[in-house]
Amino acid sequence: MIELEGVSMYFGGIHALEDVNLKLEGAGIQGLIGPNGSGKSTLINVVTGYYKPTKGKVLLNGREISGLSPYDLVRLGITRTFQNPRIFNGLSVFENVMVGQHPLLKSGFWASALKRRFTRAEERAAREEAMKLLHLVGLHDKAHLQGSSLAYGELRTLELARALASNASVLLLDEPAAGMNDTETVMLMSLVKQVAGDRHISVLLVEHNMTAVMNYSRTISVLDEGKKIAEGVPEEIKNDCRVIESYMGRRNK
Amino acid sequence: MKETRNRFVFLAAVILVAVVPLIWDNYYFLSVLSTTGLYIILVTGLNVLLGYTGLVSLGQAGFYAIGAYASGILVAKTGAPFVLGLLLAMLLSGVIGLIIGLSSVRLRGGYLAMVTLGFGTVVQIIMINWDDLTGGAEGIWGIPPVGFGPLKIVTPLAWYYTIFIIAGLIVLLTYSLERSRIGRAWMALREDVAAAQMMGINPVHYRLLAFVVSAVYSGIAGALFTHLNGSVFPDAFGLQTSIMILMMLILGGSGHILGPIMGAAIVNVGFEILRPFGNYQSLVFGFLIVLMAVFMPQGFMGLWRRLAALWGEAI
Repeated sequence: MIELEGVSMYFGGIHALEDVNLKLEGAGIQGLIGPNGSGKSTLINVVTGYYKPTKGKVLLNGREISGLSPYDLVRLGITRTFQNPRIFNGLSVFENVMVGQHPLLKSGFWASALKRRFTRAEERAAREEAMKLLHLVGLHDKAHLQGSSLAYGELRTLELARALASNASVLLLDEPAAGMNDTETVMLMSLVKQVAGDRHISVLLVEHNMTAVMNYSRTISVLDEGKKIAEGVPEEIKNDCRVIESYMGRRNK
Repeated sequence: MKETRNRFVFLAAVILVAVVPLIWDNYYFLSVLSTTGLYIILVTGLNVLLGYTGLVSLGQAGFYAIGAYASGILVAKTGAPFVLGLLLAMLLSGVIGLIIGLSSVRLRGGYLAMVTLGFGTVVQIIMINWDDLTGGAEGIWGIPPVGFGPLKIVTPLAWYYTIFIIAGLIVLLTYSLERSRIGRAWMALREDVAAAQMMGINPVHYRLLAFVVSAVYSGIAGALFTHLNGSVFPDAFGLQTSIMILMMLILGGSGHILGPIMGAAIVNVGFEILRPFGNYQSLVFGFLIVLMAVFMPQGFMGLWRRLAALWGEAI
């Protein structure tokens, strides 16, 4: 369970996040929406350790994690995808997922250099797991292609497979459906929903595609100008006048 | 399949290396090949840094010099055995590698190139000016032959085999690393640092590791250089040596385990083949290198891969 307690993030005079309280718990998808510049990506960057919050705390199961680095946080079970897919282009699709398992593997320098029996067994298991994940997202046919040769939608599914490889219990998706058509979006979102249930992952979904957010999220939080302005089940959010105002502007009286 | 092919290539290389001197037992030819072996080690060292981890270094000759002088001075002044000289070379170059590597925590690209360039130059200046220890510009000559216990490595053939066995072990070790969790972490950092961090990879840790490995390889090559020649002198460790190492890596194919071997062989053996051009040897060689850079931008291994892809399509 992730908790944000009064988190503020300032960049000079810009208040990207202002006293945000948020809870992410249980298996399933929780939506996070808001107009452009409302602080959604900043929130993800704070939770995954790319930014240290100016004020407030981030807690993982009650333990404070604000200030830890991304490479420490993934070991505690937090991972993410990026708004613009950040695939390792020079590596194969398969190797990308292998890198994703880095925090789970234990072979150090000498064990790797001398290919100890333990390392060989560990690598074999890791290769099987990588193929399993590629089957899950449907990229197994492309396992040996260069990362750079995938289509845009495939980059996003590869990023998802790579994130799942770390066995994280908290997954933050930064606009996973951006640039995808409706069919691709539906496929990706059902996949996310399925793995969230099967693997018991809490997913925070940042998304501009309202249909996707409304259809797949259990609850939705809304950010506007760095502040949380609403929270609730999709039906409530749809009819919340503050949310409508933040997107559409205030009605002239 | 790729693994089987690579195993085949290694086996063929081992047989080639073992048999060649038996056919061409020529003193001059053996010394060219031994130098090639040293460069295979040096270029493999740079490949770990630049090829895998994406960190540029123009100061590889500095690590090479530290290894060469460490072993040379220890053996010449105390009569210590070769193994100790080699260990000191590895230790000292490794520690200096760690210190220089710290600069990569904040610097990359052109700035890191400047730091390593400066490092290489400083090392050479120290070697020239610390007369008491290094023998100054003339260096240290007449270092007694070394070996393993009573077994001294004296003949060019013995040196040839010694160098190639060590180079072979280093290439194999690097190949294991490349295909391991460690190698994947290096390559992930080369491709995208932010994404690599989310994969649990600590950039500082793995960059420093790459620097130390690279420096230790260069140190080993240095110790071998000193005892192969029975002497050590600052001229061998100038900027042109660092540039040569970089050029071999680029020509051979950066980021590929066979790249350094191809690069070292092309430059060393290729240069000798052009000897009939006499005074124009360097000119012709330079021209060929420009052609290679233009027409094979990914080096020899890139060309090899393209040909293999064409061949795959043909059948």
